[in-house]
Amino acid sequence: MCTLSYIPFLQPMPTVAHWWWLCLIPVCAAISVTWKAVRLETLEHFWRESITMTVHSVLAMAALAAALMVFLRLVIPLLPMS
Amino acid sequence: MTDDFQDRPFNISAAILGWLLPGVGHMKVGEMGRGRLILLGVGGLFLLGVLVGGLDCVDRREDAMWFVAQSGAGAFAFATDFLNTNLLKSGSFGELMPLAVQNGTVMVSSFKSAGPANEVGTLMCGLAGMMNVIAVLDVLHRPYRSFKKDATE
Repeated sequence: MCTLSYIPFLQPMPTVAHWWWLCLIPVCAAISVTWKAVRLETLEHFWRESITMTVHSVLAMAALAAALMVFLRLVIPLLPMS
Repeated sequence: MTDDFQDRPFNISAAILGWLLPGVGHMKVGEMGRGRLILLGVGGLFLLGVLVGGLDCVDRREDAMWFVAQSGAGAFAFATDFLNTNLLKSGSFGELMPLAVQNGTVMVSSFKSAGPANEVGTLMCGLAGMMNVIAVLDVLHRPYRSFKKDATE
């Protein structure tokens, strides 16, 4: 058996370390689809609601990451060292 | 609520079906569209986790606490663990290689995942399991609906 090539589902995906943070988008999308499928009374506006929730979740996570980066890079270095 | 609904306070069989195969519980109570969407969300997230982390991201023995969350996805989790044990850990796919641990050496598959791929894959499968628990709790109290009238139609 050839172990040099990547076999999907059997082996871990290569180069994930470089773009693992992009997995946030499908994770938020799948959670939104499941949540809205459970919570909505009718599925008339299902996809619109799911996409809106996905966008909100991704933007909230990005804003949280940006705030944490500002805190770590700008605020913490300003703290007096004992 | 319309006249199509019949109040059934506790759908044990639908909840068990929904746990075994995500979305099927909702299909059983007549919510076909909702069931398909739950299958898409939970199944898609679980398969994406296995795609990113490989079969090794679901391991009942080595990652027991994670498996508690992953087992919420029912057959998906148990099938992946079974395949992990019988394909990777047995050496049927890949090679078994010695790995030094605290008490000596253990044989591990060359397909064993590590680092971000394993973490992200394990997390995705765990999230899929927990989302399915929410769907199971929902179907437990969801009233039966006529199969003729689907919520998506």
